[in-house]
Amino acid sequence: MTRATGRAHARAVGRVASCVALIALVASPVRAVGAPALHAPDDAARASADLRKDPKYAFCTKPQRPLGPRQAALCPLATDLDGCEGLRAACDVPAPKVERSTRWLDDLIASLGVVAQALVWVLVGAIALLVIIPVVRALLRSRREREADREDVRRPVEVHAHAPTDEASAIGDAASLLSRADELARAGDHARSLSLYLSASLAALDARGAIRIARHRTNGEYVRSCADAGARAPLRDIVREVDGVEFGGRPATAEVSTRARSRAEAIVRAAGVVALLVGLVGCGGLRKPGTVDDPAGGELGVAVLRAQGLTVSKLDRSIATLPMPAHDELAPVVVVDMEQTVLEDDAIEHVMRWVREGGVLVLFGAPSRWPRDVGATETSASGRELRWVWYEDDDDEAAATSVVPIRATLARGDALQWPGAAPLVRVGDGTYAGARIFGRGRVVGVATSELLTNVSVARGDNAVMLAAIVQSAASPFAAAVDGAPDPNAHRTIKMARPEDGIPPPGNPFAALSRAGLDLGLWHAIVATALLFLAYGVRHARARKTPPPTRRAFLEHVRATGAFWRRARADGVALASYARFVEERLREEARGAHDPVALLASRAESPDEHVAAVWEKASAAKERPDERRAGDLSALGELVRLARRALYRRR
Amino acid sequence: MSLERFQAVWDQIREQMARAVVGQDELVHGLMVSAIAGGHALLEGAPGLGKTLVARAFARASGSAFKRVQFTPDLMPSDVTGSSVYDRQAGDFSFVPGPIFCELLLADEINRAPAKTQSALLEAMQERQVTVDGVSRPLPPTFIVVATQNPVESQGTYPLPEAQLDRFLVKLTVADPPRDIEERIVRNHASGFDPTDLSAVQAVTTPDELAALQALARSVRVDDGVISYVVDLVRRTREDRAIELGASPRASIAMMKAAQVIAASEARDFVTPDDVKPIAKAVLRHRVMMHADAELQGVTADERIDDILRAAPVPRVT
Repeated sequence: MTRATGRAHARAVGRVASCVALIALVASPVRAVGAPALHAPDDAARASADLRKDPKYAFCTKPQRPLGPRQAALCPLATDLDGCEGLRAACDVPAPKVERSTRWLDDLIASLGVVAQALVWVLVGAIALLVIIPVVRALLRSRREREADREDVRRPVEVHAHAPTDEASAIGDAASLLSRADELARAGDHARSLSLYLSASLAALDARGAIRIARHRTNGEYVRSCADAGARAPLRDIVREVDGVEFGGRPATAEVSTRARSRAEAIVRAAGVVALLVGLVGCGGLRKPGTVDDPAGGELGVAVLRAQGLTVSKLDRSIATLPMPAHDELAPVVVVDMEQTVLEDDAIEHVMRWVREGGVLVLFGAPSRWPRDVGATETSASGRELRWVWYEDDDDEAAATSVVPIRATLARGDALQWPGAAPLVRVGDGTYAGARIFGRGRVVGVATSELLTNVSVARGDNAVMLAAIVQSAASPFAAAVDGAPDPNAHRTIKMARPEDGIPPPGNPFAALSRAGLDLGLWHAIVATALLFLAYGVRHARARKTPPPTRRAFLEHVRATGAFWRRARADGVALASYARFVEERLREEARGAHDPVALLASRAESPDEHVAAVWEKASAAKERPDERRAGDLSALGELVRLARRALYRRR
Repeated sequence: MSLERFQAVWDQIREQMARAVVGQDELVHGLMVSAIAGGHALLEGAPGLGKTLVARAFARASGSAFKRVQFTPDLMPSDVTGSSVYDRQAGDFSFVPGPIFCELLLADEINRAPAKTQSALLEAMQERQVTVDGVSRPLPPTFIVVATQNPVESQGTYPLPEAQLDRFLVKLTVADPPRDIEERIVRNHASGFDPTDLSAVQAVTTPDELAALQALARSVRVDDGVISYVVDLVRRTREDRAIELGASPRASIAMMKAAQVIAASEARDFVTPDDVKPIAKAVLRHRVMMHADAELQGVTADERIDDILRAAPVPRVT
């Protein structure tokens, strides 16, 4: 493309953009019935002034203190703003200086950081132990219990508490119980209706956590344990009536039933109100309107745009998941404050594709933060005054001067260089805002995000400029390009939140990884695998059940051995086993032989070794109660020898 | 006698007892329930927790004749019941009544006396009469025994046999007072309180009125559902695997009587399960014998009764 051709192309785009803006700005007052009417941008100044009368907009009178760097940068806008004395005073206060720490302090902090890191790892290890130890103990306990179950011995009594049975499900829904009680009362069954009024009250209180219904609890216990002080008195009255009828034998009259009904209804209704309040508070519906005290906030700008007739709402989804607009669909305008929202690569890729499919993206903030595909760079401006570009054509100077100028003021002169884009707003001799077509959509770029801020919108001319930019973006550009403009339609405005630039995780592992827990995830996986290998495999493996008689005998022997060991009667065990071995040897040899020689011969062990073991066994036989060192090891060795001598297959 | 009067007397007795006894609300309540139900009370607790003081204060507030017997290993039955003594002037044997002839007998450290002496109380406790030398002598209609025992020292003691334990309507355990209560007790003593002088406690009723209160309590209605609940609780003690020997039907009767008193103390002419539950533990704890295995595992009767109370469904129409 030659330089002349490029210039001609830019002019063509500029004409289109300006025409679109014109459609948006001029056509709105004559909008047809059936579409929300947009006000002329000029009305934004009045809207801004009206809105600022609301005491909640306190960013001018009582701004947050101290001002941050972002807020302080907007101070020039407040110098000549009516009613902004508070902000001016805040601007006069110098920002608190952070004392530069000395080198030794830096070193100390750095070393403390290492210590803190080590402590964190110790903490992580302790937490892991806290998790693993109960798991291991539970596994061991379950194994012990299974083994104990197999033992044919008398089991100890069960001493665990019976868990109270939850009766709440049986009682059911409070409202339906109330209506059922009403039916019974109308039918004259006052005794049952009375009980149901109590049940309805209890169900309502249980539902909101004031009591815990259980079948072992008495009515009086419900009253005493009721956490809702307001409901306690009516509940006590109902209980008194019900107890009088159920246990006192008093007649259940219509009067008693009516009294109980009014109290039960109060409790059930209160429960409904509480639930509603909880729900609303949980949803933020009853949240007290917060004071807008941040000069750099965007609340006033949104309010002004709404006052202009635009439909403005939060994007409430990730930019990376914006649905692709259909061919005949008027896609929304997504406004992104790039100073607040950082777009990740996936989000950038998706949003540019979305724009090419017909979406309109409005970027506020330094062009260096914009997606690279947009192709803009930032530069400084020669002034701070903004003016709207109505029609930029060298041949039509007269036309350009024939329209009402829209002007605004910036706190800082920043501009952008955006090849291929049509300028919408000029600052000094540079471009402040422009629009560029991408596919079937377009990107509107604004060099700073100042215009979105409260203190900026508080200036009438700036409010007009913001309204003009956003309204031009909201115009049905795609339809105009296709040759069928619909002046009655405009796009909805979606304001991106700071977190909307992050694509949602595709799976739980990605979410953990994004939260920086990928290392912990791997640790958990490894720990789980180790646990499985250590214990899980045993539980998973199918085992053949040994014959019960053999198992019982084996367990008996083991239990006897364990008992001796616990009783520290090693000598008794050794003596008993030695007698058993000697007896078996004599049976095998059918005569009187030297047991040592016989054992050594049959076990194929050295005579000296067998003699030493047998000597210990003989000592144990003579004085079994006496404690001697090595009895247990001698017993083990004797068992080994006897096994070889007596049970080896020959 | 009306229920309102019952409640008024109840409150006045509590108020008078509060002049001497600081804290120990459960003990005071349990003793009053037991006394007005016509039952005997066994108080168990470490020395110095006010067991004797509570008994004396109740006797004084209720206008009952009070006697105290310190049970010792060498105490003879006749030391309690009285005996026939030869009267030289009359030339005949005359009966000298023992301390048991009173309206409130405090049997202090009852487990220090041998079984023979303990058994001397059996007839008095059950029949409210004493038989000496073949002659039965009635005791006052409002006669009750308040016995104390120390659970800590076991050497040289004779544990009460089950048959005698069963005669006690309630067994009340006396716990250490909380810190604030203990400080109040010490402050009271520092400001001149003398536990031996209970002149500050006024009699607000008479033994006759006490008998009338007992009669009124017995007339309090007990619904079949509540009776079923009481029996259910007691029968569960017999079915519990941790309990070797469960409570007897006498326990059911005792629980019902105690519940009647509690209902009357709230000026109510009918019993609800709410009157049963608070007294169930005091009525049952001394009537159950724990299984040896359970005892080895440190399970107490109170814990098992708590479990039973948590497991037994409360009667309801719905």
